[in-house]
Amino acid sequence: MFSAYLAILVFCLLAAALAGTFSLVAGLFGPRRPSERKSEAYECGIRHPPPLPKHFPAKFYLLGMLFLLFDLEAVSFYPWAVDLHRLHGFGLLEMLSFIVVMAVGYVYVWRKGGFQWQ
Amino acid sequence: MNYGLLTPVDILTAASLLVMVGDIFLPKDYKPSLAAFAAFGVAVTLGAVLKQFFVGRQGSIWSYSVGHFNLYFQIVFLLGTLLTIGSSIYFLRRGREAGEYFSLLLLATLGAMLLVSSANLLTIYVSLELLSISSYALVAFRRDARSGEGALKYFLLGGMSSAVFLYGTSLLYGLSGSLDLRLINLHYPPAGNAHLLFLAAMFLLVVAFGFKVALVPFHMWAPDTYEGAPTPVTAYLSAVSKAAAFAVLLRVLITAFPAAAPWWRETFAILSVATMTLGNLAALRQNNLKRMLAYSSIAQAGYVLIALAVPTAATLSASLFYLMAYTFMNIGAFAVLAYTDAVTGKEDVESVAGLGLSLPWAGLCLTVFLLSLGGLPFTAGLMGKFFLFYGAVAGGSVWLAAVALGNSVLSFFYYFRVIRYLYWVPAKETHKWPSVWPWGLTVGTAALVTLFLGVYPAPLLALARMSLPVIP
Repeated sequence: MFSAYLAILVFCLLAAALAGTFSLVAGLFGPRRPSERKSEAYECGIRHPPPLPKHFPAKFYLLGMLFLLFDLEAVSFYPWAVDLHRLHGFGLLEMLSFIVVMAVGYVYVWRKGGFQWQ
Repeated sequence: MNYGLLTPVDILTAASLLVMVGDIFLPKDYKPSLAAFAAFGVAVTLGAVLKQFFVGRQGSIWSYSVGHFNLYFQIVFLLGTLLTIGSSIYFLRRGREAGEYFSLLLLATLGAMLLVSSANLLTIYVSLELLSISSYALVAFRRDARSGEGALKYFLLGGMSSAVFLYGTSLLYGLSGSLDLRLINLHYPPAGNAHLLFLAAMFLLVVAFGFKVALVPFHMWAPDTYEGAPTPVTAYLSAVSKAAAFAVLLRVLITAFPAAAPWWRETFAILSVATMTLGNLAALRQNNLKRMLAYSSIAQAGYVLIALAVPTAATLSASLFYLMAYTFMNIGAFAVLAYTDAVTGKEDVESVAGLGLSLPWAGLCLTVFLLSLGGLPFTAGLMGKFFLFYGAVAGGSVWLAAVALGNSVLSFFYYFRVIRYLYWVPAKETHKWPSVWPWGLTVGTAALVTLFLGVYPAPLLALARMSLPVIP
């Protein structure tokens, strides 16, 4: 009953073999010039960013979160638009009430100063 | 389509949105009046629900069902919300965040109302999230480190329980091809090995709701969250949120899994004993009053679970009765604490020392609530416990009733300790107790109802008998 999964097993083995070969070849023949920066925990050879100050402004996170919220709500318009011809007036009413609720949220964020950078 | 069935939830939705709008546009000095508006909105909703309960049409629209069972619990939630609003007013006197606070509270209640009326696992999930996310924000409302810690713990574990719920739901969908509770029932028992998978999915749902009810293996978040949250929010979580989760547990098990009853009955017998015993033992050791009541409310959930361990008409109606009584006595007790916390700035048992003498009415009310939680005569608590334990004996589970009775006796120790502080331990410092009439009204009403239900329980019990979940 598992024969259907044989292809996946072969695929996994091939992937492991390929990745293993690459690392092995690179380890055997590659030049090796370790430096302090390269052996740091953050391994891309870039210097550590300095430690963050204790308080840092969270403005961007707020804005990012608000963007995500309204973006996701906008996405929910798409399936509705595709099915609108079957939902008729009822679908229109539903979406109107959704928009009203969303608008209250939008006005709330606006008046509370959520969109202001300063 | 009978859109009229949705009237109560429509009213509550509008009220919560209006409170939010009022928060934006009202001048600062008028914001405390939003509490009155929120209470008004809840009262109107309650009126609409009562009308449906007694005279209105019942039925279902899409996956929203309106029957006596759903309406009974909606009444419990709305009464609990009213009491919570009444006990919040003094807590909020310094802050001007009344708008946010009350709109979140109303949204949480809306989630609870939708939760208990949903007949579809997807709408159950959405309403559960509405209730939960509003609660997370409410827990963090005190804006200090402990409040934040409580909210974060609740949020992380709550997110996990949501994931568990969705896992169970997806398994059920795969097995039965439907998310409708009634249709899932038709697929039981599935053939062969699918039976085990079906049971596993059911238990995943039990775990998710058990987290919300704070049943014992899943109760880890409760003490910290209850302690960190503003005291009125603690009252709300321990009464309304808990009742909502219990109601949906009852409904899902009885509508979708009636045939699997032998499995879940045993499970709940064990969970019930573990919950009440651990809750009581832990409450004995607490010095912080809120934490003590948090463990006490875990123990109380253990008593209510008897209804799922021995699901007969007697225990189920007793659990409905008990949840209504518990809403009054538990929110009442927390309401008194909300006031003493705010005045004394302390939460340990010392903060109520001498309260019975310096503030006789409040002391008397707190005594009534504690006696009722313990289950002494002439209180609602005794009646609820009596019906529950008697139902367990009549249903053939004498040992469960015996364990519950032993636990009640155990709980006297910590309830009486507080009463001893109220009357026999003099206060170390004197405080000026400001008079706050909405708070006094809330506490007084809760105490009167607690006493009334203890003396004359018949009418409520009759309503509870009317509201049993349908056993197909």
